[in-house]
Amino acid sequence: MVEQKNAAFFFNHAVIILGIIVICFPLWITFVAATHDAVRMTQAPLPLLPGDRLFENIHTVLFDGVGNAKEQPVWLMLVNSLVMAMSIAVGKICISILSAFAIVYFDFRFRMCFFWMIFITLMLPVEVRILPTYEVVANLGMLNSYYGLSIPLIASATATFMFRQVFLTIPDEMLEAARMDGAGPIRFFWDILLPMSRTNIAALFVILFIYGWNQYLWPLLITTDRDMYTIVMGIKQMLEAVEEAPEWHLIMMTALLAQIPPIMVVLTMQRLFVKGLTETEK
Amino acid sequence: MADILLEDLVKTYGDHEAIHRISCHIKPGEFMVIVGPSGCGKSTLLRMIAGLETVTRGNIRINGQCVNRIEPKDRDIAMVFQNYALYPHMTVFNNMAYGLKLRKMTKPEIQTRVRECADLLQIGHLLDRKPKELSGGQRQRVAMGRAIIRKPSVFLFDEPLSNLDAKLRQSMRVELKGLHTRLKTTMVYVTHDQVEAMTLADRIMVLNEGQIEQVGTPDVLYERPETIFTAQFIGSPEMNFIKARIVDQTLVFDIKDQGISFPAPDIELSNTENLICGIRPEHITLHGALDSGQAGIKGRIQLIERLGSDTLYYIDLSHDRRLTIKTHLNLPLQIHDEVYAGFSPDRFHLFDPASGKRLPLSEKIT
Repeated sequence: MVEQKNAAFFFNHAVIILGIIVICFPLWITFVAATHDAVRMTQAPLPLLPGDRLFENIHTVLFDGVGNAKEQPVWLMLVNSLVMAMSIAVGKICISILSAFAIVYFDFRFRMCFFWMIFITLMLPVEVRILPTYEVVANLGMLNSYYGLSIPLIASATATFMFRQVFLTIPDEMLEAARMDGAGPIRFFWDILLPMSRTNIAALFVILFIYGWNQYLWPLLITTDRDMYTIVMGIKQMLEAVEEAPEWHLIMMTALLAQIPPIMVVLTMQRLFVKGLTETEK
Repeated sequence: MADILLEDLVKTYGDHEAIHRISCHIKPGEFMVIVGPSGCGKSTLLRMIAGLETVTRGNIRINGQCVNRIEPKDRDIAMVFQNYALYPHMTVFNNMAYGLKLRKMTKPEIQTRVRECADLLQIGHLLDRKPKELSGGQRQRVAMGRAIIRKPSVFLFDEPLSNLDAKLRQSMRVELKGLHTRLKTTMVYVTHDQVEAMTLADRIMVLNEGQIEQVGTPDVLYERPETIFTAQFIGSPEMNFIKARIVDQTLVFDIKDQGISFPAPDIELSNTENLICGIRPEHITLHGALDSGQAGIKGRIQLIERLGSDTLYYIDLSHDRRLTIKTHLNLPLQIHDEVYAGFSPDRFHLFDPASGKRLPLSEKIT
C-alpha cells in the first residue's frame, strides 16, 4: 500500500516536472538569448546561461527597432497591441453584457430568434469570414486604423452566451426586490447586475485580452502602414531579414517583452479570474 | 395604514386559469394570512397585489385607488421574499438604504432611518457586513428591515420563514407578531404552514386551486370550517372523517360490524344516506375498556407518537379506516392494544361530500 502510494507520488511528480520543463525551457532559452549580443548568438553551441547585455538589448529593442522593422521601435508595436487588445476586450464585454441583459430580462418580439442569431455567429469567427470582412472594413476606410483592428473582432457570441448563463443563475427575486425598491431597468443593470457579475467580467476580460493580444492573421491583413504593426505580427516581420542574418538576440527580447502584458493581466486579475470561472453561489 | 380590496380577481396563464374570481376586503392594519397547499395560487395572488404579476381581470384597490396599472414601486408597498433576495454585493446598510437612495432621500435622513430600523430589529451590529456573512435568521431580519425602512402602508410576505429551522421559525414568528402590534401596518402574509397561519393571523384566507375556501379568524376556521378542505387543512393532526348516514333521527357511523349511533341534528336534508362526519383528534376520547352504557368504536392501536404535552394515537379500525386521537392524558396503553374510541356528538362537523360544504346547523347536534 505504502509502496503503491510512493509509486503514484513519484509518477505524478515526474509528469508535473516534465510538463514544467517542456514549458519553461523554451522560455529560459528565449531569456538567455535576449541577454547576449548578436555575435554570440551565431556561435555554436548556443549559450545556456544569461549574458550581460540585458538592459542594453531592452533599450535597443524598445527605442531603435529591430531588423526589417527598424523604423518602428517596439514600444510603438506594444502600444498598438495594447490598444487593440483593450478595445477588443472592453468592446466585447460592453456589447455582449448589454445584449445578454436584453435577451434575459426583456420580453420583446423575436427574442429567441435574436438570441439564436447571435449564437450562430459562434460558427463564424474572423478566419471564416475574413474576405468579406476585409471588404467591408476597406470600404469603410478603416484599414490601418485602430477601428479596423478591433471592431471586426468585437462582434462575437461567446461573451453574450456566457453573460446570458450568468444572468440566468441570478434569482428572479433579485429583480423583483429591485423593482420594489424602485429601480428601473438601467438602475437595476448598474446597481445590481453589473456588480453581481463582476467576477465573470474579470474572467472574461482576461480571456478576451489574451485573445486580442494574440491576433495575428487579421492585423497582418489590414495593416500596411508600419506604424500600425502589432507586436505579434511585428516579430514575424523581423524574421524576414533580406540581406543580413536575423538579429536573434533582439528578436528574442521582443518576444520576451510581448509576453509581459498578458502575464500582467493574468497575474493582477488571477483571483477574480478563478472566482469568476468557479463561483456558482449568488 | 391602508386597506386592500380585491374585486373579482382573475389570473390566467395561457388557457390555464390560476386564480378564479377572488374577492376579499383586507382591512386597514389587519394581519391577513393567505394559506393553502402548494400550487393553490397563493403566491400568485400576493404577487398580483405587489404588482409583479399582471391582473387578467378584476381590480386591486389599495386605499381605494385601483393599482392594476401602477408600478410596484409606486404602490406604497414593501415585500419580503422567501429567499430574502438581499443584494449580495452590498452591505446590510446599503441593502436597507438602497430603496431610500432611489427615492432621493438625503444622506443624514437615510442614516437616521437605517439606525432606527436596525435598532428595532436588533441588527445594529451587522450594518457593515455582507449578506453572505450572515446567518439565516439575520438575513431574514435584514430582509424585513429593507421592507420596514420605507414605512410602506402595506407589507407583503411571501413564505418568509420557510427557509429557517424550526426553532428559529418559532421565535421569528413571535417577533413578527410583535412587529405587527408595534407598527400596526396592514400585512398580507403567504404561507403553506397552517401553524404559522393560525398563530399570526387576524384573519386567514384559505385558498384551494385558485379559489377561496373560507375567510375568517383562526377561531372561526377551527371551530366552524365551512368546507371539507378547510376542515382538513386547518388543525394538526388532521381532522378525522367518517362516513355516516341519518336513519330514523339518528346519526349512524358507516363502519362495518360496529353499530354506533347518535341523536341526529334537527335539519331537513335531501340526502341522508351519504354524509361525512368530521371530528378533531382532540375531541375523541380513548378507553381501554367501555363502561356499561357507554358507546364506542373498537380498534387497535397502530402507532403512538409522544409529543411530550400530548400523545397521538393512531387507531386502526376495521377495513382500512383509521382514527387519529390526541390526548394529554398519559394512558397505560401499548401498540396493538385493543381500545375503544368515545365521541361527543356536540363536537361533530357534518359535511355533504358532493359539494364539500358544511351542512347547516350541524353544530347543534345534541
